[in-house]
Amino acid sequence: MAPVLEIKGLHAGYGPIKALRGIDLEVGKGEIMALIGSNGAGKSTLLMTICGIVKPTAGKVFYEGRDVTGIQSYNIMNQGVAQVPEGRRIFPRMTVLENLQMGGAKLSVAEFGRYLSWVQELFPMLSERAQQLGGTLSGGEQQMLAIGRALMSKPRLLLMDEPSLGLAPLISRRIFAIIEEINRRGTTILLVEQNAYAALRLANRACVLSTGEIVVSGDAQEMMDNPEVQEAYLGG
Amino acid sequence: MFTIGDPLIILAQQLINGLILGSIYGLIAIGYTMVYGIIGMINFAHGEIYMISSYLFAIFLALVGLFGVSSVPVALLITLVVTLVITGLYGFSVERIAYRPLRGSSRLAPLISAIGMSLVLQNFVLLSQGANTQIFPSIYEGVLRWSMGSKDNFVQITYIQAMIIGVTVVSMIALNILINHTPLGRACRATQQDRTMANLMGINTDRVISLTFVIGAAMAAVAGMLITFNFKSFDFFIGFVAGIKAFTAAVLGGIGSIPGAMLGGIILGLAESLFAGLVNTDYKDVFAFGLLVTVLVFRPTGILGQPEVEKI
Repeated sequence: MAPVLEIKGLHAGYGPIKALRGIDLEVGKGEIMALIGSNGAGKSTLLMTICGIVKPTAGKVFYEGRDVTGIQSYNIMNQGVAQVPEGRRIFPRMTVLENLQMGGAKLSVAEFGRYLSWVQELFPMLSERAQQLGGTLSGGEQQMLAIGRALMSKPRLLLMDEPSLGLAPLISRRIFAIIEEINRRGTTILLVEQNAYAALRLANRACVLSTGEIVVSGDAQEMMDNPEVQEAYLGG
Repeated sequence: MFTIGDPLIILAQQLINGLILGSIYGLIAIGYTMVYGIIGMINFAHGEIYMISSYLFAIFLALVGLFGVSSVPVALLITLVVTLVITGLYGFSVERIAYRPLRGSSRLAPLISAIGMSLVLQNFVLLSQGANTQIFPSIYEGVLRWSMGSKDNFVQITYIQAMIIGVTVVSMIALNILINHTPLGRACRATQQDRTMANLMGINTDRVISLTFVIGAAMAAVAGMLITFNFKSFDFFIGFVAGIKAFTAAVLGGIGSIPGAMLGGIILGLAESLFAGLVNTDYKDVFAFGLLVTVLVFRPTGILGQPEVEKI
């Protein structure tokens, strides 16, 4: 069976700046793949290139076996891909409910209701504050809304960019627990994290990105024991 | 009681006149504010779209008559729909031809392109229709009058002026429902607030931008048809002044905000006609633009505009 996501020799950048230099990556069905690396390594660019926001200069992206390289972003996202982007990017002048409706725009009424109650069960805050404007939520609440919004589109592949960034430890632990729960329900996850320890504990496999290249990859447990990775990303 | 030329009577009459003028400004201002909200550019060709709708309205009304539709309401209804559609098509084409190819370039490029588009449309009408002032037939004549004290002392509103207010209110309610209570409107607002994220939600944002131009053009067409009805004459140059005034209204109300555009239009219209009626006609534009400057000093984002601050 074809992997959910397959990336071959992907190059991308912004003008003269080369952010990705030949990425090869495979994410199998039902996996959590962690992508770790320091600031500016190209992690967010990789996610944006998969989604068609950044256009690749070379290489291919296959989603569920289909070549989606360079096609319009909305086309890719409508095939069952969702992203929880860096900085959450919820719609600030829309209510919480409207943000969730944006995610579930393609669902039938019955399906929408089912997914809404599931998402509200995962994050009870989202039903309590349904009528509040997104921009007035706290950082942690915005993150929950961003995840909830992505889940409303019934994704088969979920890309998450730094979901724990800037959150209190307690809240980020809850977010990680929920990521695990989402994965248990069958969604494949590509998780970008700076908190390498938490990411490696959660993931099946992982790879380390450095200046646009994958430098180490393998089983998440083995990565945790890898002295190089320990020194660079797990604080010795 | 009241005497002839009583300031209160003039005030009441000028309030009505101002409301009518303001409705027209507001309708045109919608197009400026929606386009600015979504792609951050001032569509300087928008006034010409309004001007073209006047021509289309007159031409199609004559054509419908020629094809033997003798009932006036039916003829008007057909003309109304056709004019809305064709004007919308103009708005759509202007974006496709003059702005979309420049997406992603500097902010100045589409602005210059807009000014060019404005000249092209104006001269297109000038060449194809001539420079003469065109006359529109009188339909639905009649006035409502409220006498105060004596017979010569009255406040009046023509049927057509009443229709302007009525149609504006209905258009605004329809637009409000479309933007705030439909999935399509949600997609518009999402695109306005964060275009990349809207893309990531599976929205074809190019289509949303096209839709914005079509809605803006349709609102301008409503204004163009109403004003043609009211003044019964128009020429190829009416888009310029109306465009500048409506743009002022949009900025006054807070550019990017739809209720702001309507409010800005009404305030501008009222200010202009009250000043003209009670102080001096020649300086009414000075007063209107002075008002804009004053508001912008204290509220740089306009009356209902929101500063671009986001919580991180």
